[in-house]
Amino acid sequence: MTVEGTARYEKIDFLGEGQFATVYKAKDVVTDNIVAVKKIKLGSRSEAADGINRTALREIKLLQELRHENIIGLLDVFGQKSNVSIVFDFMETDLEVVIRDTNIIMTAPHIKSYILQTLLGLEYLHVNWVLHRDMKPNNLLINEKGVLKIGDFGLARFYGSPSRPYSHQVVTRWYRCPELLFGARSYGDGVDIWAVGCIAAELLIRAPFLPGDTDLDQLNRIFQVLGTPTEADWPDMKCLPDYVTFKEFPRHPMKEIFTAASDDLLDVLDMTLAINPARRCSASQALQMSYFSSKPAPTPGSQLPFPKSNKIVDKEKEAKRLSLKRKQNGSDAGGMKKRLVF
Amino acid sequence: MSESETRVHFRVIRYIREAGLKLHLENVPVATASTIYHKFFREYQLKDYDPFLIGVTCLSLACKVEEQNVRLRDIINVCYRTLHKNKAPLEIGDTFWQLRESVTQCELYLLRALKFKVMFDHPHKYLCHYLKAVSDWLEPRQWEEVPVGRTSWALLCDCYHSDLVLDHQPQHLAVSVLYLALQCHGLELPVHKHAAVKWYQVFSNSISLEIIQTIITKIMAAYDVENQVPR
Repeated sequence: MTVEGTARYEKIDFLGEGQFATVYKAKDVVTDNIVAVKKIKLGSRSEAADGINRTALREIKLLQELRHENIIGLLDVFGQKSNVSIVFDFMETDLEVVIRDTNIIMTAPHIKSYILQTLLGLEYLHVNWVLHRDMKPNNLLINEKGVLKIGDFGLARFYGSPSRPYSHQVVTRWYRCPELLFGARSYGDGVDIWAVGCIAAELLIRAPFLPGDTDLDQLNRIFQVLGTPTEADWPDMKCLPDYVTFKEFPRHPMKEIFTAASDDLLDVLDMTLAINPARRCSASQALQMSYFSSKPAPTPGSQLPFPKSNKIVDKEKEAKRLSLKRKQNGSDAGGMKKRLVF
Repeated sequence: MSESETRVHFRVIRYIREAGLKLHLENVPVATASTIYHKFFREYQLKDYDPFLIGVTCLSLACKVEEQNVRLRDIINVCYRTLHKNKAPLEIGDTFWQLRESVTQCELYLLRALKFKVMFDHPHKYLCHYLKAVSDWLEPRQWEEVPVGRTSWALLCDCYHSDLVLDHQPQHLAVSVLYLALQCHGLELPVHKHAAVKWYQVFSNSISLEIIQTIITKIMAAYDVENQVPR
């Protein structure tokens, strides 16, 4: 008999807990590969009441169709009792950890490698008419070989159908583009591209580029740096549902903000962070820009810096683990049998 | 499949479509629901399941897959009313919660039966493209007078009453319903007789007249089933 489902994956470690899922590191006993198992929470009665979680279903549906070096690989899906588990490539770390790690010195070739890998993955998604809608450093996963893969497809969906309105409540605020902040219900690949621009900027300054506190503050920050768009810059802006007039800020040249960046990288930032979505470049166009063919060449994956200690993350992990334990103890006390099996 | 089973499946699909219509669903989610239904009963025995529960669950799962935001509560209420036309509408109470529980549990069961493969390539989008091309080939007056679009679309939706949709490529199905619609209206595409490459081969190079005829025969058989099923 072939080994299937839970029996196939030997739990090694607890990795984290999100809103809808718990993630474990595990060994695939069939292939001996290390994998990540994401167990979708369907625990309580109220949660189970709506059946399979939409977010999980999106991930399963889309990732089964997608195969690319720079996209997280979905290896298996299985159900057990009222649970669904998704098996992914195991990824050691993510770009957020790399950016935050003060021991890492980020050189121009490193930055080029990260942006290049992100755009290659994104180009593949867009060619296949998939919008990711939650691009951020935290979702750009990196394995021990230095390969970056786009992960977390919980908000992703097909696009291109003109009749369907889409939600504008997507993308983490700091990486959200102006048209979404103005409430656009029809949008395209530009929402992901803007986020890539923010990520590239974050790689340069080693801190979030536009950390807004509210949606309005986010727009304010965007315009303070990139200038408030005029009617000529973005003609239809006023037609967007949540449009509000902003104070007129002048545009700061990219050169003044990113003093250490090369001119060809500044061009990439200019094109990806174009305020008018119609003028923003596509992933394919970005990849054609001279930045990616000029020297220095991007660092090969194996030579990319790797965070040695994930202190911040470890602490968070520990805190989460403790809270989980508390929760378990609490439920045990309530007489419920809830063991950590998957 | 026995004849009586075919009739049961026909009735359940008709039920799915009726509920779908009342829920204002688009055609593609209904097509997905029907496809999931047929796929399930290819693998599992009708005698072991309540086909209507499977049908309702297919509808609920299809809405999630196709990103149609319909609440499970609405699906259950509408489906209950569609099935029990003479009973009063469902009240919030034990029956409602039990039905809801059944559907959510069944949804996970269906997903596992489908091995979590929930992406379906439907003929609808191909048919739209083909119709656009045909509208350009025909005289404008002809296109306006003869409802080829409506007829072929209706035929396509009706196809889903039968599990024939599992056995053919979406492009082939789209071409076949278009072919049948043109035939129904006695319409011939310009220079069709003299063309070396037939119009349907332009749309799909793997299709043949034989395949078209096979599909049309199956569609006609589905309409025959309709006559055997009480309304």
